[in-house]
Amino acid sequence: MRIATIVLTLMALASPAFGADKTTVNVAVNGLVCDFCARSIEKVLMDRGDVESVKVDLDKAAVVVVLKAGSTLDDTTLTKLITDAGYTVVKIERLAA
Amino acid sequence: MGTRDHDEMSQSVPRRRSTASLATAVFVLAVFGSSWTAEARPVSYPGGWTVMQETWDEESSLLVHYTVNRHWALGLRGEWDRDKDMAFLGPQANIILFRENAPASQTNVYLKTGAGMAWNTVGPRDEKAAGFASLSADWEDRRFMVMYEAEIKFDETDSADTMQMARAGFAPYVGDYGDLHTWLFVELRHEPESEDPLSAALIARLFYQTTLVEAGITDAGDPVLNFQIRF
Repeated sequence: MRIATIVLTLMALASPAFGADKTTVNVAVNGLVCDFCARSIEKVLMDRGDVESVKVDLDKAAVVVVLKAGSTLDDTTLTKLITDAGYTVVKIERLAA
Repeated sequence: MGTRDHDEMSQSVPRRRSTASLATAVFVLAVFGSSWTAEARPVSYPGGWTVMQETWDEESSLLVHYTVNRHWALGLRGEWDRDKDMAFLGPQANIILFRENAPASQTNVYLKTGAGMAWNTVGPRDEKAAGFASLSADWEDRRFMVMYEAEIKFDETDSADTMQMARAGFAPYVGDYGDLHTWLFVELRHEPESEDPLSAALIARLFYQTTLVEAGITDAGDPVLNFQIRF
């Protein structure tokens, strides 16, 4: 019985359903007025291996970033990447996917 | 762009001892002033490459630049004037002096400067060291854009040439991210040393993702055709 419990526990831990889920990050950005220029944001973020998708919303002046499970992209790094792309981060909000 | 007196271009000049006349120097400098485009995003994202080709009548230029960091980019510029049989090659640096990101607009001030060699493409080569510096400012939101640029060009004979340019435009429709975007511009140029100091052009700009094309016509009936792509 003990062995079965241990085996079942180990199987649960190894399951893809267990652990970190994808994270959606909403970033409010100033200066988002030009598609041609805003491509920089998509480029610098997608160069990272832990970003699944990037959507730039010019109407809402926001960038929606979906991070892969286990992503290490923190707010400081995210701010630096968007700042390096030429924009100003106003607010970051993280949501579970 | 105004025509310049280049009768002295046919004279033979020792290659290593440039004693070009003022007219020749001004003519050489005119090559630098042939661009009719306002470069979109002179500084891209760190590690990004930008290729910009401009053609106005019989003058063409090609600039390839690499963005070192979010403050500046370094590139190589080449120009060829097929009408005046002149060419230029040299490095160019684009530097952001000021940027303000507002909720619904962006303001930029850039310094662009470069130096290199200019030479004749027909007859005696007559190489000259030459350089330029320009200060440009722009403001845009999703519907309107205004831009101003002032430029000075000089060569080893200490002669200088100046140019001021103003551009204003609007987007007839506001596109979403991923759409084909369209802008329409009026551009005015003042080149006091030119035979035709005041010029104007109507320019249409289309861009899709990282590719931008401009086409237009000057008040002299000359075509304007420019292309940019970012990597």
